[in-house]
Amino acid sequence: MSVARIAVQQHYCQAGACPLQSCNCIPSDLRQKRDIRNYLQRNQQQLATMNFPVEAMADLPEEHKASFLQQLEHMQVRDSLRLYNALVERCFKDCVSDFRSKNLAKDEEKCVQKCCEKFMNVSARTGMRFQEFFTEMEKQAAEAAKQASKKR
Amino acid sequence: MAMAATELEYRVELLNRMVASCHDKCSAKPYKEGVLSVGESSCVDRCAAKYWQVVAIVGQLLGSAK
Repeated sequence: MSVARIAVQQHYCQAGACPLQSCNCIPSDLRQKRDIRNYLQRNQQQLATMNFPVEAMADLPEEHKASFLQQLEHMQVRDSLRLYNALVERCFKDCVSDFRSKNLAKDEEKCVQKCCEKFMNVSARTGMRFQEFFTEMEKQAAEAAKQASKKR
Repeated sequence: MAMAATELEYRVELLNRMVASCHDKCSAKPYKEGVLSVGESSCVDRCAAKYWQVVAIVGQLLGSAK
């Protein structure tokens, strides 16, 4: 290891915040915590569109978080591919009906564009309402649980 | 842990089906334009609200049937 690298490691290791991958001073679980925090911060917007309960993640034990995040990434990839297929099928069914030529007609092309745009708009708006209802439902469930525990 | 993953999958599936249903019910076909009109927007809002009520009713009935 170079002298400079050792110096950086020593400097940061004293503070307990080594940014180098090869640092041994930070215990591995703390480093994992930092990586998970960074991942959640970077992908916050994307997670929000998926209605992912970011706050609930805080309760999970550390070793499960990493595998959960991996699973989450897989789910995101699967979901976007599924959306792609569904959208293509939907717009094809709705827009393309003229098989006299091999190439798409101009109006069919425009129709497909409008179809995609419309579906995206509907999806965004529905997602918004979904989020509102879900948070309201969770609030009501929490209140009901509180009252049930009070009665006991 | 597995419960959380299953719950998340359920939520994603629920959202996807809600979007598909509301799109089928509310979008004016043949597609005139990409932007939602005022009528379509309010239709989507009401569609989502009704979908949630159906979710609640079905959940109740399934719970009581067991």
